[in-house]
Amino acid sequence: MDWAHLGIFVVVIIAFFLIMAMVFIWLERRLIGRFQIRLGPNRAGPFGVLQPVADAIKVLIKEDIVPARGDRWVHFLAPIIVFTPILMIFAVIPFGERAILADLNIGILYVVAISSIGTIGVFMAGWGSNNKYSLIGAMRTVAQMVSYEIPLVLSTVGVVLIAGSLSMVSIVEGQSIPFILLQPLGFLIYFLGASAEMNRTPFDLLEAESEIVAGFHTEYSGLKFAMFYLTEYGHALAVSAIVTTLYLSGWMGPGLPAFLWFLIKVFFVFFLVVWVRSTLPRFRVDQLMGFAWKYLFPLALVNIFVTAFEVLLWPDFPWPVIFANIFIAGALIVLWSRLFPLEGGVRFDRYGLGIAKGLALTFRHLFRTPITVQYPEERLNTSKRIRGNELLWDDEACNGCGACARACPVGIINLETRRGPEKGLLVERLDIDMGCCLFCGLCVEACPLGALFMGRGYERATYRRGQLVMDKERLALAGGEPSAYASPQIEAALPEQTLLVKGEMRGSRGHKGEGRWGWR
Amino acid sequence: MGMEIAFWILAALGVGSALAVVLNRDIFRAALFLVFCFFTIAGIYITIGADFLAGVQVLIYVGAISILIIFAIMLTRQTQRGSPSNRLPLPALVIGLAFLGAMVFIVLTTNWHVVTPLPEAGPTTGAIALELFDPESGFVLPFEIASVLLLAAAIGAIVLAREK
Amino acid sequence: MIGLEHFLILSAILFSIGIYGVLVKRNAIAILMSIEIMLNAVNIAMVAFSRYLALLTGQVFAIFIITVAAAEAAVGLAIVVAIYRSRRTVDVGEVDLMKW
Repeated sequence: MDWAHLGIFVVVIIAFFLIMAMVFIWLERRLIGRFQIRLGPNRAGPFGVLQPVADAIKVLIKEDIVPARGDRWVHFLAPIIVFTPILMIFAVIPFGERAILADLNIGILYVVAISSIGTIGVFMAGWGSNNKYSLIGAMRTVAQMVSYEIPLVLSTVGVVLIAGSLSMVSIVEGQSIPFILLQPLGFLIYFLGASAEMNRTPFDLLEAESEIVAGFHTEYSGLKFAMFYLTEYGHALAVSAIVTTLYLSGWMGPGLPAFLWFLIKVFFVFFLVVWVRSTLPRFRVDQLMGFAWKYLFPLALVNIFVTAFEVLLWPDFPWPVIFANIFIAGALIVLWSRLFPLEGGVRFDRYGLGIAKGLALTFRHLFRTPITVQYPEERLNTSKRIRGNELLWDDEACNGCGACARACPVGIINLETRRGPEKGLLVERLDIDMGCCLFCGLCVEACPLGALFMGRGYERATYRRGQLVMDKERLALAGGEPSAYASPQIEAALPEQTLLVKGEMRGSRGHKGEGRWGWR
Repeated sequence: MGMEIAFWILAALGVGSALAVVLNRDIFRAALFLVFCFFTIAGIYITIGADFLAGVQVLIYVGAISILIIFAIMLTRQTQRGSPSNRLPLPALVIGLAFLGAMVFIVLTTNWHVVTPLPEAGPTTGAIALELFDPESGFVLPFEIASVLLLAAAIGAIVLAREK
Repeated sequence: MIGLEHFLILSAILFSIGIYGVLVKRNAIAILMSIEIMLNAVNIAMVAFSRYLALLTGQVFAIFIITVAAAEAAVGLAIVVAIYRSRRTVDVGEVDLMKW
């Protein structure tokens, strides 16, 4: 491969990386939305596919803030040092047969070594920010990454033992049977370890918003934040690609072109990551460390022993070994879970079946109708008793007594009257400054004639305070529906109220129509 | 040719960052320069043709030892005071230069019996494994002892650094 | 052409920088860092020998040196942390309990 080809391939890989990171950002947000019975971003472009682009533009034109007493250079270099190794991983990923930048014969070692550099960048980000949350987040990250790197590396040893090579291409070519079948335990350990390395829930302690703001990138904004964000999804892409290569037989597959198979598998792995993320809650710090050192680490060692024996005894891996391996993996996991004490003891229905149940539940959510209400186009029927942010005035009924103005605790009702021809009062002016209104409704209660109502409208936002002052014409023209909270006679005329369930209206009498909460 | 340019650049960067480690008063930055120095040395291994060692260098030194050092810096909270030099920089410089002079002299005057022509630099992973675990002339016992040493070091470090 | 001497002189330079650092630094962690530079310098020499003398033993030795360096770093830094915990300093000039 000469220099020109090399250069073109590098450009192609970088383009692939950036585009896929964008796709992953979009896909994750959509998927998490569906797992939570929401819609996810859907405004920018068809199905919201332009959302990452919009985010990128937003983040690029933001101000870049450097903490006053931070270490400027360290702060500046950190995102680059986090980002570059992730990009460098793609040099050894085989995208298809012979579609690889450099088939290093130390392939896996290179991946492991390069991805360990990012830890330093995280540390630099935490240190350079001169912020306690950043530093705590960075310390947590580093402790977590160092701990989970060990089971991660050990679990790849099983693959290396079977394939007999560190080269990624040889590993893919050695997978006439995908290694996930020969190495179910190794796959599980790698998957969990990699989830921890890329800081996904349940391992996202370092950016636990409720505890330490955003962790090491609290003090980052603008382009530098964008690089951290891109790194996160680039890392997800890298892990998906590595799992595909190591355990899912890479580009190989029947029928379809190699690159397509590769992409399908990458997306499948990423789907798994998002699925786990949207199901499981976050670990506590001690649980996190315990999980790495007491659970994954010994299991990874046992996995190496078992694999080594199998490689020695049955070098060509007959079919029974696959079933034996799956059985051994299951047995080991159950056995080890008994050695892993949690509060209240380990109960299989909680930690085995419980997790499976949770995953099944979130998976079912994918097929439910999202409860998202697309606000300006669709809106929920409001309760008849809602106090909106408007007042309605019936100038026919009003006799200008001024009870409302006297009742108002903030004195925003300005009423001027004059004598009419038949001794009655005619309302000259009625100004109500809705900008100061408490929506207490005392004016409505004070009105002896029922000429003043709270309205049910809630879309009275304006750009100027002056426009919030309602005068006589606008009060009369508001034309909204009066709220029923203080008027039993209005309420009595209304049908019963319902709650919104699954996008369907399900009332106590079960009929659909106007005058209900739910979909209009 | 490419390897030569790479060597000179990496050597300059390596020496420069090593000097920065020694001369920088900010110990956190010194640690970062140390990481960079380790990285350039991994690059130098590649120019020598030791690809496996380059990977090991990055994994162990950049990924593990530097993290340990940075953690120790955090735990000892001496960053405000920095890492000043003691009162003997001149004698130290003289000793260092004397060492350097002696070694360069020895390097240049010794006949090293370099193999000519040089064998092609190929992948070293398999060859190192065969050398390491060769039943006749291998290093199986040192390998096992090294693993015991690592285990002992790990346990010892935990015992030493643990809060009572 | 890059020869064995180039690598050996690079190694010598790094080693001397390490010696200077060990002699001059007061912070124990900085001294450990200088020692790591020296170990790396030795490794460069080992690997260069293994390449130019066509003996793979040099690289095997380099692996052992890296192993020992990892152990040394772990124990050394643990000792520094332990000293810091009891004496609130990592200045080697002030850790003089055993001095007469």
